[in-house]
Amino acid sequence: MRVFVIAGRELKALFLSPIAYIVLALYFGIMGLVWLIVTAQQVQVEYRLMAHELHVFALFFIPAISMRALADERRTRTLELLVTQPVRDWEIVVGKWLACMGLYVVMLLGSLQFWAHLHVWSEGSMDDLPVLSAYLGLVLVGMMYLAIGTFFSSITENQVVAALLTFTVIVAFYFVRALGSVGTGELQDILMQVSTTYHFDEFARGIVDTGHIVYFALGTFLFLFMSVRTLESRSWG
Amino acid sequence: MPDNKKRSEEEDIQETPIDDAVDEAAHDDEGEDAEAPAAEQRERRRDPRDLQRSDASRKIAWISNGLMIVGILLLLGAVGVHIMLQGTARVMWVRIVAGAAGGMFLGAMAVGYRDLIRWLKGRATQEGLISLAFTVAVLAIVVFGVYLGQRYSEQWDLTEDRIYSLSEKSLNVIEGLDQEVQIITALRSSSRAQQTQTIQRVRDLIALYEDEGRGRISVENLNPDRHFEEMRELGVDSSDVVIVKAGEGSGESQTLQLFDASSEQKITSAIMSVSRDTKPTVYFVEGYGQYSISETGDLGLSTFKGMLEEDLYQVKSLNLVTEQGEIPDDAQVLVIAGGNQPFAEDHQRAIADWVDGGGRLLLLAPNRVIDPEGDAPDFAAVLDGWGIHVRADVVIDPESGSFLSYVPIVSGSGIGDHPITEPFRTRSASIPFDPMMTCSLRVDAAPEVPGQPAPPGQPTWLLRTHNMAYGKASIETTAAQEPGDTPGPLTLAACASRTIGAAPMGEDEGPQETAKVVVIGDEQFVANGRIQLYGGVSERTPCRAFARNCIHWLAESDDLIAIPPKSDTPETITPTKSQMAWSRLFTILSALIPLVIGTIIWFVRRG
Repeated sequence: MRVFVIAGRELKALFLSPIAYIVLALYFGIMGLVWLIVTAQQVQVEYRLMAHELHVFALFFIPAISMRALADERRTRTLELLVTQPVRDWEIVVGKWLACMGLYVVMLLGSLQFWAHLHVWSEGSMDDLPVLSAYLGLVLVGMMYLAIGTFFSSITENQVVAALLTFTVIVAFYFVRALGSVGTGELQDILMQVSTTYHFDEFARGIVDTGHIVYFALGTFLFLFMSVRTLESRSWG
Repeated sequence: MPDNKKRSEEEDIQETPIDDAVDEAAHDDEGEDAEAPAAEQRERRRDPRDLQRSDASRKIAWISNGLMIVGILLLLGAVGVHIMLQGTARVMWVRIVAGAAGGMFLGAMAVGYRDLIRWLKGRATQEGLISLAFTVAVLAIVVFGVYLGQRYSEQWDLTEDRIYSLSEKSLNVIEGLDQEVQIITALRSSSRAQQTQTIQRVRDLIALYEDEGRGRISVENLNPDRHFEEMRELGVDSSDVVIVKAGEGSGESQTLQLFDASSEQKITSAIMSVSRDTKPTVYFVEGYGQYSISETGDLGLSTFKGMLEEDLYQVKSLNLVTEQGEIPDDAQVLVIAGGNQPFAEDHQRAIADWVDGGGRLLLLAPNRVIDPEGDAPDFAAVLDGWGIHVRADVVIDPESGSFLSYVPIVSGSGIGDHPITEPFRTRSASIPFDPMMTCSLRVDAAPEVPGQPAPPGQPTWLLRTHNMAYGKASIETTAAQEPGDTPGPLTLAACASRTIGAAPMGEDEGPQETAKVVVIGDEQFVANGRIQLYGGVSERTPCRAFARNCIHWLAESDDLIAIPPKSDTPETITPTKSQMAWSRLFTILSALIPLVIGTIIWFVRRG
């Protein structure tokens, strides 16, 4: 599969440059600081303890991961070189997105240490299974945010612009639920359905709902589709 | 050829600057190299009239574009404000602004229609429009897919106590519904976080009932700001209520306020209440110094009465003295809550006969040690033959660890294996008793076989203390343990049941009834003051749930038993210094390791 070849090469390039390590160090450093503050005194033995914090941190780190996906190729004019290879546009987009997912998953795996601490401290009395659903939610929300990041990376060659646009849109998805309080019932319902927090919160509570999985999967598909269309638009003249 | 050349020159002269622009755009498609000489030739051929036309066209284009941009902005703003202010008087202004925006949009199209047409004919435009249409179609499919995903979703609750799912008993109630029940919500959005959370909890809970009760339970959501007529018909004059209504036949309904509607117990009770025809009757014995259901003070039972009424029981008082020991025919459960006077012998005999004949009794035994008069009854005659005896002692629990010293607290292995206690065996529940009023029970039971329930007819302990507790026959001198005190573990609640009318072997079976007895060694176990102290209005208090479950088991309302008190509040621990040290080390290492690896890779690649 050419998708995985592209993803593999992209991931290799990421981990052969200092960028991935800087992002990882920053992520673990800041998360660790939050963890030490939260657990400074008493701590609730709760699987939800860090799930929301990890979601909030994704808002800041995902634009940093996805900003170079296609924007860098445009800036260095290597995108034209890439498209002359026998690969389809969707393969390029999905490959780049998968590489970003790879780095994001490494970040999430590293954050499992916090639950390991809690599990040991509680001598096994912690409810462990919902941690799985919280992580499933984090992976799904990351999928969608990275797809948004890939899309904005495809429309500009400036990485900073791509990151800022991605941040703005994913923050809007995060906070749109709060806007519901100014509207009526139907508007509130619509905004709730659009909001990523509404769908993620269920996973963080320990509930796996196919409806929420569908939301994140289709949201990811939509932004990846738009990225492909953007990539195709270069041939319109 | 000359003719062609001439005609070409004439066409060039007649072309407007806009045509030039379109031509240029068309040539863009062919490539810049081919376009440059042609553009230079045309520029040389232009006369002053063309330049004047060019200026005019530019102005027209500016006006057209300006109108269009202002129109689009106004239209978007009007749509946004319209959504926000829906249902208010300002809608008219929004429509006027939207109309003006539409007018500008049309005006822009009329002024610059030639530009528009040429723009639409451009290759890039056509490709872009096709792509846009394609994207909109995909967006529509995505929205529809999300809708279907929400509509036909499957859900799994991964929490250990299934705190976000309906309990088995609620499911049994739903399963047993023989008529449709309608749940109507009238919930208004709130800007207050706590209110919003409660509303969300109610919505989630109602969604569970709707999901589990397809075909039996229907849900209708009313908007309090719009559905005035429907709310008036239901007799509801406030928002944030949930109405549970029986099918068209009986039309019975119960209205739950927001807080109550967030409780699974209350909603299930309401469903049972509106869907069932008969209500079991619980009588509270009075006349010998028992606590009264009409008393609202700390020592009254009015709160417990209210709880039972919410659970569909008819609750009445029975004064044995005035009724001359007559127990009404409709009595299904008899409750004796304490007492400070000895019962008349014939009244004790009447109760014993009634229970032996298939009646059900909940006895909250009075403490005879602390009774100043020493007249508190021991109910030995009533409990004769049941294998449960009330001891004359005071239970002291020096290791309770409670903020009130010596409060006997039952938890963990002190909770017996019985349907009444089933909900508390799966979680770390603790049931407190009165520090000075609690007496212990002696249960004549065969030795327990681990993992096996007590045989039918044999008395069973329900709650008991740990080994450190003891029962003192007198507390006049000291509360400390002395020789002669009853050592722990001490039984504080027990029950027994017996089948009445069982036919001898080989004979046809006649009608059978089950006589049941529950004894709790604390006369104030369900008093108002106790419920307020340990339970308040919370549903999540094992104390209340245990008392309720006793009545449900006695009345054989088994489908109400075991709606366990659920809590999503996790336990709290304090990490030790050593644990914190390890945690800090891991945290620092997890940040340092990527930095070190990154630096090494950078140096290696640089070299």
